[in-house]
Amino acid sequence: MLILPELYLILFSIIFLFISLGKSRQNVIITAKVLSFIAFFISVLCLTQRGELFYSAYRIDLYSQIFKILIALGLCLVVFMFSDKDGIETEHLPEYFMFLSLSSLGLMMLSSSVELISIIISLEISSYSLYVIVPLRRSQDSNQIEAAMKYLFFGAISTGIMLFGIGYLYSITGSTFIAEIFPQFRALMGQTFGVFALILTLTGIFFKLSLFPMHFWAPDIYEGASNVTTTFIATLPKIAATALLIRLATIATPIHFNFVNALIILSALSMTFGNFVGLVQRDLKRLLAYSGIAHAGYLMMGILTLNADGIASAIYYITIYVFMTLACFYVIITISRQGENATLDDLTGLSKRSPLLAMTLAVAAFSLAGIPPTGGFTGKFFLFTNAFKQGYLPIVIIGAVNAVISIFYYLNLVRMSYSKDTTSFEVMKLSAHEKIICYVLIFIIIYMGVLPFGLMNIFKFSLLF
Amino acid sequence: MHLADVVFIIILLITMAGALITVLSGSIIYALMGLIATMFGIAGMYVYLNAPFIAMMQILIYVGAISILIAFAIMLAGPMFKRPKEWTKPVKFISGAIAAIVSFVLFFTVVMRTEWSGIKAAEANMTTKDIGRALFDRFMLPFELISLLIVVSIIGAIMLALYSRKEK
Repeated sequence: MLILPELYLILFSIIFLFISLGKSRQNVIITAKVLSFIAFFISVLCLTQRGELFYSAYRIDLYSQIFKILIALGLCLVVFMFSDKDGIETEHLPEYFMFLSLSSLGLMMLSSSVELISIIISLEISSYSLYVIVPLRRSQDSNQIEAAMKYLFFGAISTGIMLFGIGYLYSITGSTFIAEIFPQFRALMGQTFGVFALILTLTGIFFKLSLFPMHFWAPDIYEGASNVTTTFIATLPKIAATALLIRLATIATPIHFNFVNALIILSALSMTFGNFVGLVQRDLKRLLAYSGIAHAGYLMMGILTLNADGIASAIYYITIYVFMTLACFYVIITISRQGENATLDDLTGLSKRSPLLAMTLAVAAFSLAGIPPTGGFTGKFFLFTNAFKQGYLPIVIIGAVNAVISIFYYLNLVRMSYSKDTTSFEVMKLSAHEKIICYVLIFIIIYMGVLPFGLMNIFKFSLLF
Repeated sequence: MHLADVVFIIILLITMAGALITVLSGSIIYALMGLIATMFGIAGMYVYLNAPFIAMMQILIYVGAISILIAFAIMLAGPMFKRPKEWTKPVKFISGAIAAIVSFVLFFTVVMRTEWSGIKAAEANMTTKDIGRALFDRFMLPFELISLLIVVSIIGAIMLALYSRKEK
């Protein structure tokens, strides 16, 4: 019962393994939708589970269960966004869903593991599954192969650096269990070596988050992978990476300035770089990749406070980030009917062609830019106030300036879809299924903007582990 | 000088010479041979540090498996045994040297600026039996997860192999 969501995802992938062995490809998408919804349901059921497994290498508490629910909900939404026009060969659909679920399984294990070797291996399970599904795309050029190779190499290098750091952590503390590292690390934090080891260990997570020095892969992979694959890569790994980042960064309490300063620099560079390069992008997926780099910077602002309020606001921010990114990608998936990449010009006259999609995009863009009453505003508000309370004024100022810069290109999306006239437009008919996803995403984004305190209290409560 | 120091220096020389051959030689086959020498050197270092199990693993995995894999890759990739000219441009050497020196200096400063007295070394007397024990009790979760990881990579590799065959 404790690890029911994980066991269920294994079952999920085994079912698709068997479907892939057969010839029939008729009900694959429906099956995936039903099974992923059950995954979400099961992970909600397991919310209150508590316990430790495998010689306390695997901890199930409210904190990990919240992240598991987020991952399951993300998987569910991604699968529901899938349409058969997305450019994945029908023949490979069962394997595709199998790897999606295996990747989510790795991410779920990541949020529960409290032992460094398990963490590395869960990280690899989720990454390997993604390396495999990136090249699965029906298209004329070989962009997707290049993207897959880049993803593989960057992933391998970042894992290598992370293992190097873990080797150091083990060599100076003599343990790979976070609970045992924690008391010994307190003495080491003042040492250059301790900070060095911890930062190297965090590198693998920075890669998943696409934070500044490890961000190179993001734009190319977003561009090369198919739309749904990109949606998955842009959202779910970041949830688990945040969970892990919080677990590892809190080793560094009490606060040591070398470590916090390093995080502040990474955060500032990441948001500045992401926003400035984002300004000139035409391809929507590249634009969202740079926006993701910038948002990783904002997220770090919550984590570098290293206190419960700041970290709870980081969890809040990653939650809202997932939903607003999903909303943006859903618009991209829906307007590119052949599964091709959408550019800014494809958005022209969207409000006439499909008012609901334009509305979804507008809400998501407002939220990404941080304009009330959307969740993005509330999340940024929490992050900025908590960083300010801890006395990190420079990063708050940099963050605020960046939020203003980013408004330009996010609102450009809205401007393109609302004010530009198009000469010839055909009305896009949305099915009931597509409408429901739009409404759900709009509802969540607005809800998290208007009524944040219930969720915020749950997140704060979960941090008392 | 003790005999141990002589052994250490010999091992070090083998490792360094292998690494230099790997980087500088004009033919990929020689580079592979250099790599194998380096791997043997590192295995020797493990023996020197009283870690025979890791030394055996190093020889089995790196010398035995990975080198063979690289040899197969060279064999299957066609007449690429001569290193292409653009790989050995001076610019590449200089940038490689700069990267190596920067990382060396970084590592060196970090090690030198640390006070090692307060840090206790990790348990060193691990025998093969202890490692086997640890794999089946404390480290059971990673041990089991590795099997899942292998399943993922095998299925993925087979799928991609079939996928690329169909495209041709």
